[in-house]
Amino acid sequence: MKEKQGEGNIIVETVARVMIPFIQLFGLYVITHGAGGPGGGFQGGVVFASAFILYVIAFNLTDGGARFPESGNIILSSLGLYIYAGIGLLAIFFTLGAAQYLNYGFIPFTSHFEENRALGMDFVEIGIGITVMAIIVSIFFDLALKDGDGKEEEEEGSR
Amino acid sequence: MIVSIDLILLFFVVVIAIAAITLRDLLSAVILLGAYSFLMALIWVELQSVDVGFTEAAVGAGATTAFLVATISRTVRWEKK
Amino acid sequence: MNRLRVIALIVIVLLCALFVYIAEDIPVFGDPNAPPIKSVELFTLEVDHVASLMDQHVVPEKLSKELAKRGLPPPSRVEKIPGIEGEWNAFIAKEELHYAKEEKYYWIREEGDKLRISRYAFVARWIEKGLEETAVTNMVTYGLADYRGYDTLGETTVIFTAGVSVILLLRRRSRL
Repeated sequence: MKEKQGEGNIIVETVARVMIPFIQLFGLYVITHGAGGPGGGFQGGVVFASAFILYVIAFNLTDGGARFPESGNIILSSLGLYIYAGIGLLAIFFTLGAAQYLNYGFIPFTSHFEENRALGMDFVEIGIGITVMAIIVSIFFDLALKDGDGKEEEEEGSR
Repeated sequence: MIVSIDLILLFFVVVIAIAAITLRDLLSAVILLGAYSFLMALIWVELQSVDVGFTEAAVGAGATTAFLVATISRTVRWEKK
Repeated sequence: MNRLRVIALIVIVLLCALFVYIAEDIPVFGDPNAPPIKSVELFTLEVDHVASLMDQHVVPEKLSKELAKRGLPPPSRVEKIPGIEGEWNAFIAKEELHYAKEEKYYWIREEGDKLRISRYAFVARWIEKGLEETAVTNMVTYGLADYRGYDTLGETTVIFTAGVSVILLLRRRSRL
């Protein structure tokens, strides 16, 4: 059960190094392609987060923590929610209170009402994706990382 | 939607769920749960709800398995009698 | 540190005021102008003196023939909407389409000497009008993000709350 820090399997590392960019690209594709096919913010966010989890598993645990620090993590997770709520608020701001909250059609991205709705949905999906990605990576780090860093090593669970 | 394929997949799902309950090796149970989620995703796609199947495959077979394996790596692997 | 707390308090109070304002904006339940309750208009029909017939719960033959020509489910009975003159509800039978029980399906109005027939169900509007209303081809996505946007906002908040609670309960390092 004790994973060795600092040395990994070369096969796992090579496969991870090849696979991670493609997984991230697929996650972005799923998020942006949610309007035209199966997919959306939630699924794309989870796929994107699984790329980070693969990186953390294949390489060093603390190395992955340095690549995706917790301060940025909590900022990202709330940023997605703010994007969602902010897109909803833009509809109120642009019409000075006449439109309803989350009524994307009144946000003047383009001149067409329906295309405004489609674009508003895309931005909302991006917000959901950012939140889900950051939250899942954060939960995995909190579950998997040990205290480390020179402090007293806590007792390993006996079999 | 073909009923016989549905029934075969549901049979496998029930078998895997019972196996995951009865095992005493928690790591094996977690991997069996991943297989369960994968079969559930197949069933959702078979019932023509591709979005739900996608979510089940991404969250159930991917993220949840990683979470549970991480939890087991911090605790014990074998269930006590 | 103290000034940060004051700023955070002010931001929270502003957000609370904003959310109260937003909550006032949710369409009232039962509002006839709210989008989910509107009906989909199907066609008009030239019918003379069927009003008294429909008041006696009889489906006119011309109406059911016209509906069958368009591939729509046949109505089983017609009922007058209480209190309003010249408007009827048509119900469809039990095992029709995807509905498990008898359901109010058509909305028939009399305008002059014409009958205007509309369809009630929101599901029908969702399927038929979604593409032209939102310009998005995926039915699940426009349902999730547009028609039920409040639902998805709450869902995302639940995920965020789960992550924050895991951070509060399980994070053991001092740095944050």
